Parts: sequence; C-alpha cells; structure tokens
Amino acid sequence: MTELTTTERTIRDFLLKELLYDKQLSDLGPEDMLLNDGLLDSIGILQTVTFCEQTFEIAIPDDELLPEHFESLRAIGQLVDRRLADAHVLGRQAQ
Amino acid sequence: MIHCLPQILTETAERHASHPALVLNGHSITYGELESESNRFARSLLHHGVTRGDRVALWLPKSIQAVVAIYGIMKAGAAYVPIDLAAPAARMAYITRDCKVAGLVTVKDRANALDATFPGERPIKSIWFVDGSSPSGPASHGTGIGWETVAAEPNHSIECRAREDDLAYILYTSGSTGTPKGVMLSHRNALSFVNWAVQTFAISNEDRLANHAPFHFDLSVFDLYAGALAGATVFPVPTHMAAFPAAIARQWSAQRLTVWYTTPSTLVLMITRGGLASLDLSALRLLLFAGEVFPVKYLRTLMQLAPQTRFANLYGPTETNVCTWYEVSSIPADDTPVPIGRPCSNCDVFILDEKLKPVADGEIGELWVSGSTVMQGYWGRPERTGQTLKDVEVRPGLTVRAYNTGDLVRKRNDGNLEFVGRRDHQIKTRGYRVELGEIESVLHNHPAVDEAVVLGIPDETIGHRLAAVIVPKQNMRVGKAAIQQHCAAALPRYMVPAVIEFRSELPRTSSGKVDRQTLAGLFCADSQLSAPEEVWQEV
Repeated sequence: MTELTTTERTIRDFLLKELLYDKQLSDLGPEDMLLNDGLLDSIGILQTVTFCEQTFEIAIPDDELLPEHFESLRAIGQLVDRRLADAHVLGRQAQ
Repeated sequence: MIHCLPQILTETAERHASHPALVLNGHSITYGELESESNRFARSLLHHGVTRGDRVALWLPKSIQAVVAIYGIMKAGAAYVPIDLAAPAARMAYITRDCKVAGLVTVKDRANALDATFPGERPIKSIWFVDGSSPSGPASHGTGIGWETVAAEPNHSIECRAREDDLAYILYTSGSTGTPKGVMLSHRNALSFVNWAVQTFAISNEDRLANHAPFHFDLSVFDLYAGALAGATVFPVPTHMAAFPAAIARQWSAQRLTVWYTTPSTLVLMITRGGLASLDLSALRLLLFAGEVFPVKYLRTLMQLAPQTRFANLYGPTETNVCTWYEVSSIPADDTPVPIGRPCSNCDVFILDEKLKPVADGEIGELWVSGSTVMQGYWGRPERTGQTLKDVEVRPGLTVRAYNTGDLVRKRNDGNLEFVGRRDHQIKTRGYRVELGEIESVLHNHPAVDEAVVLGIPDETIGHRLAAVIVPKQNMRVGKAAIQQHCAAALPRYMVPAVIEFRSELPRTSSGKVDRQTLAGLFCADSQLSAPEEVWQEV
C-alpha cells in the first residue's frame, strides 16, 4: 500500500473516528473511493471541511466542495495541501 | 388503460420512443430503448425462475441499468426491494431474508461484500450484475448472471405479469422494535399518486425532472413514474455526487431542469453552502419539497431567488405516498411553519383522538389517512399492520380503512392542516424517518450497555441530531467509538448517534419512567452554550 502523507493520516484518523465508524484502519487506503457507496453524506462532507479548516488553518471555499476533491484520502489531502500553499503565498505577499 | 407501473413506460415508449427518458453521467436512454431493455431484463428474470409475486432486491449505485432493472422486475410480476447502498451488511442481510428475495441486482464490486454478508450460504438464488460479466468464484453464491446474458434476450414487447393489486415495491423504513419494516405498496397505490401528481403539477414531456432521492427513498416514486407518465426526461444525480449540494445545484442549473423534488435539508445546504444565489434558476418552474419541516427563513430565500417558480410542500409517510399538500403561493411574511395543507384528491384525512373519535376543528389529534394511495401493510407483520391500519368509524355510519400516521396535527381556520409533532419517539433526520426505539434496541444489544436512551435534538439544517445517553453495566468500560462502531454494524449511517454521553444513572419521572424531557433539555442547553464549531463537529 502507498504510504500516507501526514495530511492524509490526519484526515484518515478523523474520518475513521467521526464518520466511518466501522471501517478498520487497514481498510482505508489513500486511493480508496469514499463516495461510491454513499458512506459520506452531505453533512459528513461539511464536517470533514470544518475539520480540515480548523486543523490545518485554511479556508475551503464553497466552490471547492466538489466530488472530485473528496473522492479519496489522496484527493482531500491534495485539496488541503493546495489551500495551505495558497495561504503560504498570500502570507508572504502580506509581509 | 394503465393498471401497473411498467405499463406507463410501455405507453410512453409508443408515443415518445425517441425522447430521452433518463440522462445520467453523460449517458442517456430513450423511452423506446428503456422499454426494450427492460423487456430483455424481464425475460432474464423469468428464465431464472422469478415469477409473479416474488421479490427482487436492488443493491447498486444509481445507473441507467438500475432503472432498466426496476421496470424489468415489475414487468416480470415481481416487486422490487431497493436497499440503501450505505447500509451495513447486517441490515442488507436482514432485508433480503425478511422478504425472502428470489433475486438480487447488484454490481461487481459488491461481490466481496456479498461474501462477507452471507458467509458460506446461498440465500439468494440468482444474482444479476449490471456492470458486465458475472464475477467468478464464490462471490456469486447462487447463479451469477452477467449483463451480456441479459443483452442476449429478445427485446420485443412482453406481457406485463403484474396485476394492479400486486406489490410494485417494498420500501424498508426504521422500525421501533429494533428491526426495519417493509412497507408494501401496490401498483394501484403508486399509480394513484403518480396520476394525481402529473395532473396537479401539469408535468409534460417538455419537463426535465431532477432525481436526487435514492431509489429506497419514496421521493423517487414521483421522479421515476410521474416523469415517465408525462414522457418527461429524468436526470438522476449520480451516487458519488449525492453528498454535494453545491455540485448538484450547479448541474441542475446548467441542465436547465424544470422540476426539482427534494428534501428541505438538501435545499438548505444548497442555499447556505451551495452558491444557489449565483446560479441561473430561470428554467425552474416547479419546486416540490417533502420529508421534513422546511425552516421558513430558508424557504423565503429560495422563493426570492426563483420568483417565477411554483412551490409546494408535499406531505405523507411512506405508507401513504403523498396524502396532503400545500402550495406556497406567496413568500411567507413571518416564520410560522408552512402547513402540510389539504388532502390530495385521492385521499381522505381524519383527525382523531385517542378513542378514535374526531376532534373538534382547531384541536390537536392524530392524523389518519384513507384512500387509494395507502399501503397494503408491512411485509410479514400482520400484527404491526393491524396496529396502524384499521377500520375506523369516522362519521356515524361511515367506516373506512385508514392508516394512522402517528403525526399530531391541527386544522387551521383556513382549512389547512398544521403539523404539530409526535406523541411517540419517531423523528426526522436528513429527511429520513427514524424510530429512536430501533437505535435503543441496537444499543441494548451491546454487552457493556445497561440502559440506553436516544434523543432527537432539533437542528435547523438536518431536522434532528441524534444523541445517545448510556448507562454502562457495573464494572464495565466502554467508549464512544466502540458504541458508534457497534451501531454502524447494524444501522444506516444516518441512524448512528453522533453524540454519545455516559452517565451513572438516568433521570426518572415520578412514575419511574426515564425522563426524556429533562435529558433533551440538557442537550439543547448544551448546544446553545457550545461554540458553533463544536456543535458542528458533533452533528
């Protein structure tokens, strides 16, 4: 199995603890599809967004709330990393 | 003359053969093709021994093939039993055994889950895979039938085996005694509702209907069959997109859909997080909502965004299809909840007291419904059916068979009915009906749980949040995660309590019963005191 990044591991731990409940840790790989069987509903997606925003101190705008950004741990991790990079650039510009 | 749901398709296919029936994931199918394909599927079912009166389960994501299968099942004279894709294996197994399905329609990536669900046994005789050939190995258990085998069947017309009083489908809903119960609806029940809906809302073949509800949710009955009866085009939301109100709203706007029918929870999210205000809603002529109370402040916003649109609140438990409705003709001036309206033309409603006597106008009573849309009963539960479906003397000398919704209502001065609440422990969350007793029953099965109470905490976005209060057995330790895992193994996700609290004892009333009101008050007070983000995390 591909190694998880730190971001992916943090998100995975949140999903397993708060939303997916019965998934075993070994079940959830970075590329596993999260949306195909309806395990995450719209409220679950918003909880994930809120968790990422608070944990990584980023803002995820509503127009980023698209299936392709939440279809796997890797996709969510990439969304977070992109927002972190944007925030970093903005921070440097502000300085 | 149409007596059965699949005859709707057959007749529409004659009139509008080349008109698109469904558009999904970039694929479409015309009415003519849907008719032919469902003929093939019906033949495949018959070849594998499915007969009139059987049940065939569906356990698959939304797809054009799923709709082909639904029509094929009904043409073969069987009832379809749609199962929530996100339901745990134990629930799936319970439903298939409870109504003794003769067949299952699914997809290949569910094959492993089937192995886990039915280890070492073959409870289902035939399993159809809609996405290609049948997987080899133990996954297929019974006879595995690939889609290429179905495609080899002749596609010419087939006599519909069903009769109007046969079951068209069975929808499983939460049951207060710990297991889900199957609501049995006949072709006549569904057709009565569909005819009413097409006529009342003037659905035509120029309409483009949204379909957000999954097929195990009764809102889909309108989408599929009112759409087909009118020869309209239906646009099902793919399963992977169902949790993204922003993406759905954008797609519906771009597809210029004319009719939306969904739950207030979804519409609220479209307004608050879906960017609805920036979308072109000029094609939307009719917006129907059902399943729960719509917070008026959001309805008002929606009506301002789509001033040309007709808005209506449809009311009815799964057992009655839709039985009352209210057209919201002008933007509500205050936050008084929108009424559930007046009975549909094919229903009668009665507000009765505990002795089954009509209450005076303006007084609160339980809502009973009679008419052609009312269910046949609960599958395999004559006792439960008898408790809710009764012969009632509604006026001196007039006895009707009516269904007790359990909803408390009051008739307003203007004749519209107002939903007041419930006397029992049934709540709505995300538009789904949940019996708190079913969750409590699952909690009591946990070895470390001594007592458990589940409460619905009112929530503006999703109707209710679920909170469980648990008293562990003496000298036993158990945590939130273990309890949630235990629930998730038996219940759909929306029924797993998000808030779990442990106590050494429960508050009691003077008569010794658990004081649910005090407990609920504690949670409501808690949520008011918590920071919004903390509440959100618990949702």
